[in-house]
Amino acid sequence: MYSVLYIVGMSRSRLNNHLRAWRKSAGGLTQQELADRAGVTRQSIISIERGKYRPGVELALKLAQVLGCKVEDLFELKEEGE
Amino acid sequence: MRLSVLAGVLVLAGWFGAMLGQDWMILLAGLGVIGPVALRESGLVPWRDDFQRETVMRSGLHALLVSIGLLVLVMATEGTGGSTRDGAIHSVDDIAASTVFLLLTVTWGISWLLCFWGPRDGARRILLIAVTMMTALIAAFCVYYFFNDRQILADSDPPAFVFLGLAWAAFAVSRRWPKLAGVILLAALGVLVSPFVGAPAAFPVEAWTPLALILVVPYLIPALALLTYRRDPEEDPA
Repeated sequence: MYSVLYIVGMSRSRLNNHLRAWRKSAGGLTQQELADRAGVTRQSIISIERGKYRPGVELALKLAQVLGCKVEDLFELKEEGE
Repeated sequence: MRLSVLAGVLVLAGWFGAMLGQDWMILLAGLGVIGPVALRESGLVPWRDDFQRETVMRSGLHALLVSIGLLVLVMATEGTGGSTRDGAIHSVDDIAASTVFLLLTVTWGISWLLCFWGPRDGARRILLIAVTMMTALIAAFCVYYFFNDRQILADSDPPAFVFLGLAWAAFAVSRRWPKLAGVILLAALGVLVSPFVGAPAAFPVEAWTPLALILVVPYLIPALALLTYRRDPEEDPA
């Protein structure tokens, strides 16, 4: 839980984003299907996958729940200097 | 999303009516700008998601910054009470409220469409709206003068129609060939702007800002967005 709050709270943090890989491995969900299951717009998923938008705590948890993984599997902090 | 579509229709209808002389219709444009955000922020209508809310807020910030920039620029270069007889903007008092509102509306709308839909799809939406409005205005112009003074139609300049043709062609190819669409749009802008460059004395300075906002910005921004678009090979087709 601390890692999720840390991800959301640090506006200057840089994330490694594995959402697309998990989405494709979870039965080949389309962006629209994932958006529907997570209760958000397709444009949200597109922007997250492109690294243009950082999801909040609730959405990060929803995505992890839909994809059957942990939030840390989807998003991780980049190492310093990376 | 339906509320956003309704808001867009109100804004466009309001401006369209105002440009045709029905000033009261600007109230519709104001309702379209303020209404959805007020309804959502008050909780009466839920946001689709945080991303939608963030893009609306960010776009509003862009509109605010651009408008403040214009006003500050005018105030910083304010003359010593010069008149407007020469058509120039000498002080912030010379800026029409409609110009500021137009600047806010255009900036907010364009920014939101690009932020929410992304560069290609956002640019296509901006272009579709702008070209549709232009077509409707020209059609209204043609219908009016067909029944009132056909000589004006006969004397009208072809560049407007050439511009429309190029703009629609750009939209038609924008989904599959965005960079080509960007090139076509820049050519269309060249056709559109050429009469203004050739006869600057015919257009007062005070009219340039609204003209630029209506005739240039809604096509220039999509052109640049389409020219610089990088296709994401892994993005699912819409």
